[in-house]
Amino acid sequence: MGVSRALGLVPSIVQPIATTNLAAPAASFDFQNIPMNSYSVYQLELVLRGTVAAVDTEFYVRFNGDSGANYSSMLTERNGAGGQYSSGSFSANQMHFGWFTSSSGPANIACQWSLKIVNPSGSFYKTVNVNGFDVSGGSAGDYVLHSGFGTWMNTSPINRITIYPGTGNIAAGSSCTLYGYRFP
Amino acid sequence: MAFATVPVPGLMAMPVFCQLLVAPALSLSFDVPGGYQSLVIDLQIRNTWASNFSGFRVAFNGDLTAANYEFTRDSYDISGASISSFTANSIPSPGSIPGTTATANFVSQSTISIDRYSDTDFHKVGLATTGSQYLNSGAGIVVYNSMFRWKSTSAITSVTIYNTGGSSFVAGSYCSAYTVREA
Repeated sequence: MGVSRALGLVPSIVQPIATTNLAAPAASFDFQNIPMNSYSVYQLELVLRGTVAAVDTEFYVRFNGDSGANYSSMLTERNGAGGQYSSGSFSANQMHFGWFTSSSGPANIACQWSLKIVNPSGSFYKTVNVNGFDVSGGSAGDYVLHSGFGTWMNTSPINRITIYPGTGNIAAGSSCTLYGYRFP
Repeated sequence: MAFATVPVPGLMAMPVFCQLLVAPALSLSFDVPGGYQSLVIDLQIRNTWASNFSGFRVAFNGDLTAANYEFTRDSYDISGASISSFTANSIPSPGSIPGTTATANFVSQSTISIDRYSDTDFHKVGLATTGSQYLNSGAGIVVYNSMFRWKSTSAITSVTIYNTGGSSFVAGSYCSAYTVREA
């Protein structure tokens, strides 16, 4: 491939792999058959709102369709009223990183989340760092920043990433883009 | 589902360094070209220190003088405990890393970003996010968020990542870095 900085055509190592924009509610964002061993890092950028009749719903992640008790994860919260909190779980059936706004929450708010998975084809257990937020109401304490970390206790390369709510569906208008970092 | 992997004009993330260790190494070091806006480093690491966990550090341009650095770090563990600390005169430690007594295959993952790393006006500052798991129980997972300052106006031309106890990164540890071009 020809390369020309003057034309702004320098190939980027950050490449979009797939994007899903929901025209109708869906149970999950489910990226399957991700090319294994092609990327050194995966990054996901999400805008999320739920359909369940609650102010918010859980943000869950699985890899490779594994529903076994093979995940450990923790989440942190810092809210607008000065509160902070952290929790997590070991040997769970999914990774839990926080919550995002659902249908009983404030109108027109969808929550932004970012996930990074480094070395997804490496020899260790697979890891993910997460940042996002939740808005569950109109008071200061309802505005929550989340950060988290999770481990999938499996050494297999990641070829599927599934993001889903605790209850209900992901609302129409939500979106998810999966990027891969490809180093020469 | 089919995937397109074509380069995207305008996303100017340029490769700087990518290494997957095939043998233990005392440090992960690389040179950084100038002329770009931001430097981003991604790590997935484990070390040979004989404990559940220890720290790792990030230094620039070979400067290992502790008095030339400072950092602030929040850490949260799974039990709900949190610590916020400022450390003066210390080379930045963005988080912890599992050692030889940690459960097999647990690692830490970290992303470190430094905007305007090659400018020469201000001191260099950066942000880091690290997650680390060393046991599958108790307080065995920790999340860190930190900022750091290198008290130098020099452009960053090299990066060295090493363990606080002098141990090595184990084989399988990963480090990559890229620069982002300004508009």
